[in-house]
Amino acid sequence: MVQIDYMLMISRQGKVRLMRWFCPYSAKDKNKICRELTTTVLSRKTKMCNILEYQDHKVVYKRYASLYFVCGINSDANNELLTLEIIHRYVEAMDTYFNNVCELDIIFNFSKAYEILNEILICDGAITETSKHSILKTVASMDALETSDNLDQVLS
Amino acid sequence: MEQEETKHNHAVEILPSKVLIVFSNEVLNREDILMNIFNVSVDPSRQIHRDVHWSNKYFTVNFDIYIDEFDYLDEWVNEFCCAEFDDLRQALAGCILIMPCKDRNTGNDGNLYKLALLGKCKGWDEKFAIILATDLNVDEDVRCRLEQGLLETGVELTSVTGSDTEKEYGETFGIQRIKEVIDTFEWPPEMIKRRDQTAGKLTKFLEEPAFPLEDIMSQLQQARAKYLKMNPGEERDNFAHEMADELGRNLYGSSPVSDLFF
Amino acid sequence: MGSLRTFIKDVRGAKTLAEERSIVTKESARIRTKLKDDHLPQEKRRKNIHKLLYLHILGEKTHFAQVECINLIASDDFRDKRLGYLAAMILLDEHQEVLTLLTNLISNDLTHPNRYVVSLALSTLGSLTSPELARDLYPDVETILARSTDEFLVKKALQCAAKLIERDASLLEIFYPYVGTILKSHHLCTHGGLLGVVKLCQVALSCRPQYEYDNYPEILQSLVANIPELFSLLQDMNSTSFNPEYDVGGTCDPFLQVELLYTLRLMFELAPQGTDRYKNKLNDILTKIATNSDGSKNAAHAVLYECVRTIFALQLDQSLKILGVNVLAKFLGGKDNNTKYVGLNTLLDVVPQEPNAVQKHRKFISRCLFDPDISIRARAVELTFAILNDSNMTELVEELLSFLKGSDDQDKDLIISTVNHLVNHFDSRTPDQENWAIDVMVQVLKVVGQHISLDKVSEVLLMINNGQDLNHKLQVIQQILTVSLGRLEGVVKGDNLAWKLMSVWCIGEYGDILLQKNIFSDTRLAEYLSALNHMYSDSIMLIGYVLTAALKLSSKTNNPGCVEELRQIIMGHTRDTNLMLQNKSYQYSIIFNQPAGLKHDILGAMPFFEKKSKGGSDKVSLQKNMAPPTKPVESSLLLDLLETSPPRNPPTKFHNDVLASQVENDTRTAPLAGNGVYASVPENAAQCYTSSEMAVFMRIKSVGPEGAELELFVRAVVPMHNVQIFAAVSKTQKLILGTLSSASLESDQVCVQELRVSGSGKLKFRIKIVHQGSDMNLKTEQFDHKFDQSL
Repeated sequence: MVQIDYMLMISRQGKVRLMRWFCPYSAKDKNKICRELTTTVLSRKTKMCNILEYQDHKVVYKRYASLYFVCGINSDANNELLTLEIIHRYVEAMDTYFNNVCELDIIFNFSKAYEILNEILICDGAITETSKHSILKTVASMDALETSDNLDQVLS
Repeated sequence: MEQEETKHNHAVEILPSKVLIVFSNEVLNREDILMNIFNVSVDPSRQIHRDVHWSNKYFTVNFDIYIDEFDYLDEWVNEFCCAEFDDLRQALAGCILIMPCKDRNTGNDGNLYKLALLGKCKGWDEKFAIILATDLNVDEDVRCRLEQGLLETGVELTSVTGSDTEKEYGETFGIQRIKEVIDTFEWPPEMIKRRDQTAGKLTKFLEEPAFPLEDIMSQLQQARAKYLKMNPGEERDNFAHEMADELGRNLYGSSPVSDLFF
Repeated sequence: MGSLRTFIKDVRGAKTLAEERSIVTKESARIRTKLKDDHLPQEKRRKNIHKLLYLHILGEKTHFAQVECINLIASDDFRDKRLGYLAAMILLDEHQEVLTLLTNLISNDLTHPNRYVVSLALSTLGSLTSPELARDLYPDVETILARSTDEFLVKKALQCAAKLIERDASLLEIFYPYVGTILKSHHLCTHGGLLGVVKLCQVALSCRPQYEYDNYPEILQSLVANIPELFSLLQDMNSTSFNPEYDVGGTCDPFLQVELLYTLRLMFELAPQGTDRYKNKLNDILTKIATNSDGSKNAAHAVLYECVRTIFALQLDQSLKILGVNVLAKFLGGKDNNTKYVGLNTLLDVVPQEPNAVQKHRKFISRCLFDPDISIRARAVELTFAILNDSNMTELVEELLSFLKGSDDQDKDLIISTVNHLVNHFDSRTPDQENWAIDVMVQVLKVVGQHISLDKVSEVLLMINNGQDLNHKLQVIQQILTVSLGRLEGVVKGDNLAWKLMSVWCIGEYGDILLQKNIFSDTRLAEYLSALNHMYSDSIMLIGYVLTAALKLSSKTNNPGCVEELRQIIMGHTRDTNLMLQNKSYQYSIIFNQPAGLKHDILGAMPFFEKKSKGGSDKVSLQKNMAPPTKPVESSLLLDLLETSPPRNPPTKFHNDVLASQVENDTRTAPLAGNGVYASVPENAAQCYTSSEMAVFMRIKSVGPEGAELELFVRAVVPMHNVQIFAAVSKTQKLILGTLSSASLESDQVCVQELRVSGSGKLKFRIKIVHQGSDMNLKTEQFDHKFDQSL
């Protein structure tokens, strides 16, 4: 099974571009994790495997273009290989949404990046949808709802 | 009180509004490289270029370019990092070093690692530093170690030919990577002009149950107009129900309106 | 170049014009003031929150935005709601007070006519729910599960329900029936819906310990009743039909498959009786997945991996376990590093269950020893030791040796643990492969000695010392010294102190044989010691060994030039700034000048030493920890040895070895036993111990502020040999043991041991006397004795 405790998106230049915490961490811990994982992940060689032990848990990361997607997983029941697939699914969804996603897209549309993630992972980091089409349909429908002015008022 | 004071002084910053380009004296095709990066012809023998226009799909920004060159990298780094140039470094968004990076200055003798000095300069971690290698001819392993070593000092290395890794990950390299680094630099908000983005790029996901909102809205308006024209009675009521159901279906995707909570 | 100066001038010229700023703090301060302004248009509010989210990513404090999130959620405008909920999920967590303000808003939105508003409310509740929120809002979530026919909402409501149960386990009683009802409503069972169902199942199965349920067996039974459904879902996904929507590299929805497998695993674990009748079917399905999956892509591996974990977690049939091990072995044989990593990890878990099946795949495991990825190498080493047995030992140890040869400095920790493992391993083996084990360890020191702590080296020295095959031992020593003395550049690294230490020790211990057999000349050996003495003067431990070797070698040669060189080595440290070396050098210089015969006797070969037991080593390390910080860092081979177990089967010319003086602790042993000095017990000595073998007496010769001098007398009842006396004093005191007058006693003969104590406190002693009876067995006697006098 997969339950992701946190997901970070870190650029090749070492900047955190997105972070989503699925369980409560103190601000201090969040900072520490971001700082330490940035250094750790950036210094991993490409030949190394994408799973590493960090603090008392495991970290699964994957690099796409100039971004590293980093997931913290705690429970032993977690399937590390599947975690990689979740990252991949997320990247695929963003790639379709932004039509070849790049770092700049995420900087300027980070709330979209969050919203896409929210359709994939839910509650305490469990996976809720695996169909790329369903994920994007939901996000796109909500986008459309935003562009129509006060839809609900029209309807009522 | 005193602390407040110092804090205030630190807050007085010079906008990072310049990009410094440093050529090794071995690099000859400078004009081409500058053209490729900035898409304007920049005379490399001039040291300062004002208001170079930069744009991408999200914003435009104007900045100055400083062009310098070196005979020996270590000498240049030493000079650049001395206190005298604190203000200069502060005024930079970042620094692009363009050099061949042949064996001579990529080996373990640490010539490139001299750049570690940069990382020690105050406030430099906000800036970018990237080497564009024009003639990197070391094998993948050496390159990998070199990249890691540099990364620890906060300097990125990219080469015009790209590495296996970059190709594997579909990463940009060379000039494209330089552009990406300039794009993703956190330009001061007062310098950049946001461009309007076009919305609705995802219509293909909405096609399935036909759902372009404009259509629904115009349908709704038309229905309303037609309803008003009709005579009161069963026919008119039925029409209204049908329209409501149809519009509802379109709006809420697969589920009929009646299933929802009103 | 001077360009930099041009630039700085340019910057300074512009500086006066440059805006003063501190972007981030200024920006958030600006937003803070703006948020307080109630008349701000919604559009602006949204922009501000958006910026705040961004600042949050940059690590800025954004707590002042909490109330603003709630304002946005309360808005009727979908744009506000969407951003407000997003901000709440990102900026808040379940511990925040402000959540109470959210309760009503979420409750309203859970019954909102627009499905996307409901969905946002469900997601947010699922992210942030506290036990209170869970209790307040569960009815709304239940209504959706009971009444909605919208798959999109049901999938989210299921996940949300699971989270509510995690926060308040009693809610399980409300939600568990929906597992069954929703599985039966086929139009709700999209993959998203199914993911929600299995999540609810998983939580239902694991929350039992948190709450006293009246009817848990009933709940469990109702969950287990869904097993056939779950089976058929798994089977469907593993049949050939291709569904592009859920296909990941040829595997049908690996996400759902893995969650289904995990759910089944929990069911079989928790309800062994209720699930028994499904076990055969489970075996069939797992067999099918494990054999049929095309295992080249990560997605397929993820499913196989879950499948194998299920097999071992449930301890299924032997044939399945073998199949599982084979799958994992295939993982190791592949190219993908992540798969190798999980393969090795899982194999480590299953080795205890299936040692033979695992060790059949040792070729694959060995290959991982040479993987470019250190975490894979590390696990491969661990696994290699886990499968090591008598039949594959030679093969696997050879592999480990090649691994060590190929290792580099980054592997330091791994090298150290490998060597520790090896030493422990050889330690617990029978001696029939003794020669081979010695060869291996010498090789190890040769290739990675620079990483090995000198403590570990002493274990190797011990192996050599205890080697029974003298010819082989000589060969080994000759090999070692050929490398060391032959100046074979590069064979052994300059910083390989371990190797040098071993070489020095060999010269000290086996110098006589080397000289007798004319393998090396005495001058050559002395030169080597002298060279190390100069080159490594900062390594206290190595110099300590050099001194001992110099002393020992001096008793084995008659070459005056050579003896003088050795004497110089020792004398050179009499004023050493390191007290331990100074002390040692001083003591040795005294022995150095003893008559040749006596010296030769004193400096005899080391006896056979039995390795300390596990318990013994704990004791020693405990003592080391307790020792005052001023204690010299040198750790002596003999400290451990003398402390824990005495010699067995000693050579005839055995004496208390001079090396014993290296023992630096509150436990001391007599450095030297004199020859034939017999004494009688004075009348003022108090009897403090008697046994069938001996009577022991002690007396105080003098006591004063500067210390006390005491004597201990042992009167033999039966003949005893190789007497050794160990004594310990309290921690506030220091003890120096003088000479034991004789180590061999006939009946009624007496030997005397001098003790000198300094420090403060009561005079208390723990005395241990080890000796060998006429039957050659070792005996130990121990007692405590306390005097009335204090220091």
